[in-house]
Amino acid sequence: MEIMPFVLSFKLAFTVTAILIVFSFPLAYVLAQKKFMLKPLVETLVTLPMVLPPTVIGFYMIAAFSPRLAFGSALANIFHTEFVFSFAGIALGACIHSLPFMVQPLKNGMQSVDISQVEMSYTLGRSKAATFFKIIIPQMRPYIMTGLLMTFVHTIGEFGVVLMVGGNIPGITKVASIALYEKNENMDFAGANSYAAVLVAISLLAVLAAQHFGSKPAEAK
Amino acid sequence: MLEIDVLKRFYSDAGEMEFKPRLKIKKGTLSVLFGKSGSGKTTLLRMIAGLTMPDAGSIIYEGALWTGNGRAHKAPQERNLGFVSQDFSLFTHLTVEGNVLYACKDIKEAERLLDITGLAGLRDRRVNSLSGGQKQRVAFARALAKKPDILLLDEPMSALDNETRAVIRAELDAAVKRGITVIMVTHDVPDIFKLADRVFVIESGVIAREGTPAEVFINRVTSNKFVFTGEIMSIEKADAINIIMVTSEEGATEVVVTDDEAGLLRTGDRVLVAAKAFQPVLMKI
Repeated sequence: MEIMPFVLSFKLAFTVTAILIVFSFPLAYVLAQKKFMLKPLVETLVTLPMVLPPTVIGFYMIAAFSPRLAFGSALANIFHTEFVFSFAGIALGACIHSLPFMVQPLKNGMQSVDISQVEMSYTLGRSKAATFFKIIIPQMRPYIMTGLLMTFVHTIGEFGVVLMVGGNIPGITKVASIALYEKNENMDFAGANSYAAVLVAISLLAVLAAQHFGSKPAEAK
Repeated sequence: MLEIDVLKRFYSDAGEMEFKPRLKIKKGTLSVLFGKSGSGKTTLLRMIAGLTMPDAGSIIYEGALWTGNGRAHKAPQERNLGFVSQDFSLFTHLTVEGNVLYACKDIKEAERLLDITGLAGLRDRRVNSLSGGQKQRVAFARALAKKPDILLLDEPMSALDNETRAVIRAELDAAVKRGITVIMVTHDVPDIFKLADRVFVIESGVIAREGTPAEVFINRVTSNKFVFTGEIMSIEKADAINIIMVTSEEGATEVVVTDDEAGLLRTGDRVLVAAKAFQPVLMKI
């Protein structure tokens, strides 16, 4: 069993989780607190990756990233990198695929925040930013932990999008799930099993952690 | 001076209702908002705090426009308020001490407030594990810790025992003496007589009456039987008679007694007040 596919899987999971926690907060805030005409459409688009076959996401991403099209060419110019068969491409694809796993818990967390505590913080002279970090985030902690862990473990198991967008390039896009698939295709079942067993163990630990931290209220300080 | 002249429309099954209080509150005084449940007292406190916007009108404090034309000209953060809400709104992830220190970084002042409110022994407790009265004390200590210009109190003593009530009354007195403007919602008439400089009675969406507690409440008792228990607020010697003011949940009344009767009475005594029928009249019905 090679270590590199696991290193890549973890690198991908950390990258996707870090990107999504930043971008999902404003999106979750808008969906939880704001009313606007296109809200049902935005909610549907955010939830869609959860039900779409990953190969569909991958297929349209390849089409979008094509340097022959305006969008793909603009992306390549802005980021100075190719998105097809690259780590950047699989990271972007996995971000789209894992988006609902981060946004949904954060949205639930924001809806659970006690508004009267937020208002009280304002009357005590605290700014919106201070209130966000000192009152809102601690109240949302179980939801944030759930979002982080579910996104992380979902990305560790990412397969369809990675295969479509990144292929199977050792050291670049060959993550653990792809390595397992390759072993299985080559009828190396013992090798496939070793990858599968490690992935099961990682997923199990992550789900246990999500259950533990996700149900635990913030400690008094 | 806090000048309030606002209009807020509410919509319910009964149709549209207009809430349009107009009042002026002097700096360094304690004012009470008095009225039935749902009359708009809490809404008025929230409008002063900048948490609820009126549809029209203005709120002006010391010449500065706080709210005008349905929008805040000063955010709640800039109004230097202390607010004790009915549900306390304590920060549930913080301890008792954490809640008080959230309002100020002056550890000595926080210590003093924890001491006088009897919370020193509970400083490390999570607020969720406290009783209603303890939570109310934390909310009060937190509001005072802010050293506010205006203290807004929504039923601040409803869950307190008599001993703590006396401490809070003394703190409120001291706060007013320091120049803090206190605006309090309460139904407790004895508290009103002990603390309030002015009372604003809200009825049908407007300030129906205003004045000192005596001006607003005395001789407004409407009980048919005119029998009630109350507390003696004051004993005043006037010429050959003694005027005893007695307050109860129903209001307040003045009773004239002889020197002998007055000799047995002290301020704070609980008494039964009943009207004597000197000349009963018999009529066929």
